[in-house]
Amino acid sequence: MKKILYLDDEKDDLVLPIKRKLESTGKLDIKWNKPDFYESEVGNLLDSLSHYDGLLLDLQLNGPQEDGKQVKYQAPTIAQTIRTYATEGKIKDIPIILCSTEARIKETYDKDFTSHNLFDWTFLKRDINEETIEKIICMCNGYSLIVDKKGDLEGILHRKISEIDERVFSRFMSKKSTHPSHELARVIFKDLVQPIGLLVDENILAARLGIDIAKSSDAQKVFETFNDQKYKGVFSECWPRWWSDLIVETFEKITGKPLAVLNAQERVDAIKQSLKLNNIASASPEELNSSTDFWTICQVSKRPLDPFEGYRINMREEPKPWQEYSYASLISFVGRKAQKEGIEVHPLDEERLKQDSESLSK
Amino acid sequence: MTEVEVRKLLQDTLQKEPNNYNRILELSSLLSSFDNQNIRFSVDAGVINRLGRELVGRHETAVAELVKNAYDADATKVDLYFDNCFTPGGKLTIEDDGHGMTRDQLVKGFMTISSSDKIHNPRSPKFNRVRAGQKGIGRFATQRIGEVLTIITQTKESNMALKLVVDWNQYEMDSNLILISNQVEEIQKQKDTGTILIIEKVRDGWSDAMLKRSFRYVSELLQPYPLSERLSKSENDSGFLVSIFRNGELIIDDQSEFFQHALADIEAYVDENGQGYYGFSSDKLNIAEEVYLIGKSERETPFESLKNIHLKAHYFIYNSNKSSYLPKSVNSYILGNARKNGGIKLYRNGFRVPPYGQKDDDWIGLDASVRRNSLITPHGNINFFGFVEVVDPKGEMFQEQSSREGLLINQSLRELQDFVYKALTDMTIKISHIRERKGTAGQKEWEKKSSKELLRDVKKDVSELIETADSQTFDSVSKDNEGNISVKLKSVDQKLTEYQETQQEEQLQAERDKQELLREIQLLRILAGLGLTIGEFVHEIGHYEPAFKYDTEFLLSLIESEDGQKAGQRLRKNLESLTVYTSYFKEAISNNINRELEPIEIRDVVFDFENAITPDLLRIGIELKYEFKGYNLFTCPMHKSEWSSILFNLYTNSKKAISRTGRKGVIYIQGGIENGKVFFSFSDNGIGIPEKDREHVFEAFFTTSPPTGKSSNEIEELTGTGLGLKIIKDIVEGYGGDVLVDNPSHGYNTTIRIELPKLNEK
Repeated sequence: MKKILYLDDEKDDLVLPIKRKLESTGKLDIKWNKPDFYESEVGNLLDSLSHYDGLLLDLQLNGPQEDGKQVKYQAPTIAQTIRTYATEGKIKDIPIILCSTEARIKETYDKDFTSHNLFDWTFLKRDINEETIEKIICMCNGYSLIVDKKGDLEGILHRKISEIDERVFSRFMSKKSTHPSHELARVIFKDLVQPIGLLVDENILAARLGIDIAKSSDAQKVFETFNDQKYKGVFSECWPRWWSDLIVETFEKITGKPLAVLNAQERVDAIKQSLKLNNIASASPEELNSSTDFWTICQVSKRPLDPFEGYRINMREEPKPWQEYSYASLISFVGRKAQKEGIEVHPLDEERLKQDSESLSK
Repeated sequence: MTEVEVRKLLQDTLQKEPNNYNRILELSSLLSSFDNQNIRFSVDAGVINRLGRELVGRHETAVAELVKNAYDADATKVDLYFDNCFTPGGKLTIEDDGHGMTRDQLVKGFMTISSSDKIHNPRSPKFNRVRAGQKGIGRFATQRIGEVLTIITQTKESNMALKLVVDWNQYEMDSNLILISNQVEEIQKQKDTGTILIIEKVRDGWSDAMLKRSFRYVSELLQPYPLSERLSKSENDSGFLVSIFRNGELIIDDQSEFFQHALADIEAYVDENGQGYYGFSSDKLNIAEEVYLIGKSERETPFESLKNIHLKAHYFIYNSNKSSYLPKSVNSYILGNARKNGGIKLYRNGFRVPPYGQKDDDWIGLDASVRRNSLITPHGNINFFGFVEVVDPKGEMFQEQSSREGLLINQSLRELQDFVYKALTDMTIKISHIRERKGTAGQKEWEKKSSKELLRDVKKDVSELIETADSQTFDSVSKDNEGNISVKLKSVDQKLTEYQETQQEEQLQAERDKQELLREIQLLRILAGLGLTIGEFVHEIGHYEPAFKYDTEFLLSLIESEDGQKAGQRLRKNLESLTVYTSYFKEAISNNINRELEPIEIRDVVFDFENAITPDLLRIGIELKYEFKGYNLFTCPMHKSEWSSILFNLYTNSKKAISRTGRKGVIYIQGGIENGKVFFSFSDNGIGIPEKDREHVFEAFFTTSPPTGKSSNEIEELTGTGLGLKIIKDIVEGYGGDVLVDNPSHGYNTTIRIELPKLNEK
């Protein structure tokens, strides 16, 4: 049972259902408080936070409360204070998770990036399900592991640190200073686990193996043969990932063929032959595309895509050197599904997309 | 039959009936089926009907396609005769004066499916026109229009005409395409050159509106400058005119579709003594013809090297926010045509002289003058369709350049340019005065001076007076100056009176404008208040959403009775619908905050719409299908909320029409680009619109719904008033688009089609 402290200024009638929903699987114990005035609130947190595994904050805390109280600060203020105290060692380092409504997120959070590093994860109040609960637990477990391992990266990541791109954790290699656990947690989660790069998720794994998941009843068996290449470090329970370098290596070991130069059909043929599996179908390109040299997926359709035929997406931040861009396909843009999901083309690919879509009208 | 029997039969036929080609073909085809080494594709005759249906969707497009074929055949004139075509079963005759077809061309071209003449020869042989017809569509267009086709075609060179009859009903499924023969014979020539298509048993009814639409689809090909009979000798492209007749009566031609919209018609002459004069008339401004003189320096001075000139032109002023003399529906297509074909062409002794009056040629200096802004009346090349005719058989005035690129620049040509420029601009000025007097819609006053200008004039006069007075002693004032001074004083007095009047008028006008603006602001304030309330409401609901959701889930987990479970599930579903509806509101409000017009991709608005109505569709059991052809279906810049309005009005109508059938409803949306326009169609399988009502459904308060009951609330009353389609029409026509009740798509009973200008990519 994880104990979570939850700060929200909304009235009881609106918060209690959320609290109960979070507690519905019996795995979370939510203590809900309305925010107090800053000085007292910080005092409360300093006193009590050591009893909790995580902190959940509503983005906007400055609404009028039922007893007439109204505080003047928002979630980032509190989060920053806690991070500072944790760095100073005055309180335990625990995950800070943000929740809000879609409108609020769009109004402020998505526009101002300065506070993004303060929060470990964000979810929408209306989208709570079992996965949400599991992810909160996973966050709490991750933090306690990182705290316990005291900077032992190999123990945290379950991979030899020499095998990982030096740039990812270069800061943490410094002998001069120590780093707070929440900093390490953030880099692992936001620079390694979440983005496509050193680690990839199941859809991209399937794309790289050339497999059409929906049409392949043996797909899971194939993925299982890559179990040893799975990321087993912190946060892996809720964010299943594979080491992309090991996929390539293992594929070649199993089939004797270099993955990157094969097209989807060749990759699938090689897998079928080597693993003696029959029910695997190779993925076909999306409408308007022709290449099956898949390496990524279209973020709209989630189907395999050759990045050379795709268009980079404008993401919140430019990818770091060891990360990859996300892509969407031509049909997703001209079929307007990308726009429907609010996905924009990256300025670097805007002109090419424009030309390619105009050539369709001719 | 065995192979041997077939061989025998074929030999017999070849000997005894050598002309029975059908039998010979049939037997040899049968014989080839015994070939064990090879097999061949065969083509089912049903493919003809399928291709026709799939390639040519609408009968209006089909007719346009046939007119385009005539254009491609270098015709200058196409006449369409619709006989008894209000209802299906009538006859359509299309007659052109193009180059016609030889037997070879008929066989290799028309009768060969997927023939590639247009790919190999993208330009027409005689006039070098860029071919307009789509490749290989013509024959299917005739099939789309009617059941039986007769082609009579003759070339200039041949002595006889060819007549081919094709009965499309022969092309049924499960028969071999090559075994169906069509009778062809040589007959007496019907005309010097050209093709006549006679299409009988026409499949659709043709309303006047449909004829107009077909005409509009080919309007970009029209070169509607007026041609007098004497001018027909041109070797150059001498125009392309289309006329549509119904039961023998001319109902649409370039005159009715084009020049009836002209603001004025001008005719001008230079007589044999060099004196120029012109007259113009305007039905729209109610101006009868009057004659004015045009001369070299003064109006009465004759031109020195110019005589026997005839000018004729139609004058157009296009719609702007200040004035509107053209119906919205034709403004854009006349303007579009004018950009290509506008201006004044030059004919010398019956022959057109290029490049005068071609696109981008400004030989009279009209466009240059517009750029100089010396005259503020509209007088660019696009404002005129006309020609100048020069009669100079001995070449006394004009000589052609050896390069054949126009006439030598001499005094005659300069005087001609001067004459045409003066006549045309003089007319535009006179028309402006008349428009002004009639007080047309807030036109800028260029005749009447403003109070400010009057005051400036008075000040100038007074300073001059003072100067005159200063320069001489009082008693030495000469008689001359005395007169001058009193004239000037009078003029000052007059101007001051005028100033007073003008200022008063201006004040009144300003007051009126202010009132108007205040009223508008008031209305906007009310609407803004309403919008804010809705916005606030939607925002608040958003906060309740998670609470609704999780409490319902929780309650559901507690309820054990079956009825309770049902009610709980229902509550959950209803709350979800509420969420979807409010999110659509959210979207609409954020769209309205952004007041800029933007090009709209049809898919975007359909996706949003689908999202919003899905719970409603599920509730009432209607299925929504859609299909888009092609990509980049961007309309001209519009407001996104206008599309919400269009879609919801159509949806409301469809729901009502479907509920009255008691059937399971289906709504089918299509979008694409056709005839250079973005189209959008909305079909349902409701009760349909009776043929007789089709032209009226866009009128305000026309409704097919039963009257609302006494107890109905405001919203029910609003949705039943019959304003929906009128609103759509206003939106669509506001952008120069078109909305119509189309012949229903296959399997549906009502189809409303919207056509909008597509985004100009330049």
